[in-house]
Amino acid sequence: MILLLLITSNVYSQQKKDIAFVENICITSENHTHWLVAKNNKNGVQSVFSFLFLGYKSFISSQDNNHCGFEPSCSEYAITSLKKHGFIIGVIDACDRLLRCNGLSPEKYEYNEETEQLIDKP
Amino acid sequence: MQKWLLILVLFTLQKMSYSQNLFDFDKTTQYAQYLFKTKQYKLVIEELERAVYLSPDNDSIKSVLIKTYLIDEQYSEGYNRCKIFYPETSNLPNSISNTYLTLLIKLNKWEEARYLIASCNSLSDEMKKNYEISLAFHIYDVKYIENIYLKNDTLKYPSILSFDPLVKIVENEKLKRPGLAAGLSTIVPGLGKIYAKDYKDGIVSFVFVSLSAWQSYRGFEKRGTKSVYGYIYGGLTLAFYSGNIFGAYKSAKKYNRELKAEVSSRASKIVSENLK
Repeated sequence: MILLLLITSNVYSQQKKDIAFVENICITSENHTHWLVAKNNKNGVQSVFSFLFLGYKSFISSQDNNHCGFEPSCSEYAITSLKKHGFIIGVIDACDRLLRCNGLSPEKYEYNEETEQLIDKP
Repeated sequence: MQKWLLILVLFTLQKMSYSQNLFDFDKTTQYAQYLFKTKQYKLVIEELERAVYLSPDNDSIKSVLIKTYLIDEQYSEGYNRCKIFYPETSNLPNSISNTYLTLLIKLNKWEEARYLIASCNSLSDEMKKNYEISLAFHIYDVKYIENIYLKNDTLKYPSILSFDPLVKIVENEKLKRPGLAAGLSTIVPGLGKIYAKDYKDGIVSFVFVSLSAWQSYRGFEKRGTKSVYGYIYGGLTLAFYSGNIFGAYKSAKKYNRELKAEVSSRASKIVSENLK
């Protein structure tokens, strides 16, 4: 009986086409926006911060839901601003964003109805 | 046999006499009109470009083509076509000059717009005045706007009076100075944002900076200069404080941008209403 049961379970095990189906449904990690944001680093500072950002996104932020009311999220905003304006202005701009990261002034920003988030790009 | 051959030839000739050229000027413009009514502007442009090719001297077709470029928000393309059609702006027909001027304003080509207003013969003096004021609103040239009203041009050109509400806005709502906003936030965190009319964000900035500074002070007071707690909160305070200064600068710039955009769009609406 045990042998038969084991054989039956093997028959119903996942096949290649099932895995392919699941792969098409699931969003691969390459498609996440934070992977895209961390790409195209032009210097060592950007690479270090992109690495830290990916570490935060993969191990800390991923353990919880996305609570940031903005799109892009504060961490994505920070890394984008750092790449756009340089290290000093980028970090200061990120701090300003942290101060603004509250739902008190929604009238100041555009609203994305799909994600239900306020749009604020660096 | 000859009889049948004759019938066949006549039949063919008869069919040829009834054939139609779908791509001639009349058919092209008719189809363009249908596309325009159904708001398929990209296709309208294709049809009208053919119409212009078939009848290069037809100004009304060129006018509709440039207007379609404007409606479809293809400002640069419309501007380029206009430049090719009329290299000399003084010869612009009346039907095109208004559209061309709107294109120049949309593309922020202020100098060219000023030159066009001064040089275009087809615009009436009143319309020229209208456009001059509208341009001043787009550039947000407060002195020029006030000067026009002091010169009593409003008596000569009554349509200018419709700009009255906008003049009041410009007089009452002064542009914010980003440097001053940053300076105010340096003295009191959040004050620059309040100056830029971001009241809520100003209060949040003040609370965040003062709370983290107070935590840092508590840490240093209890454990002296060896307090890790004090340094962590001190760093946080420095970050929030810098962010608050930069944020005030950005807020003032954003306020100016939004005010200018609102005034600019209202000025365009007034001009198009005066044109009717």
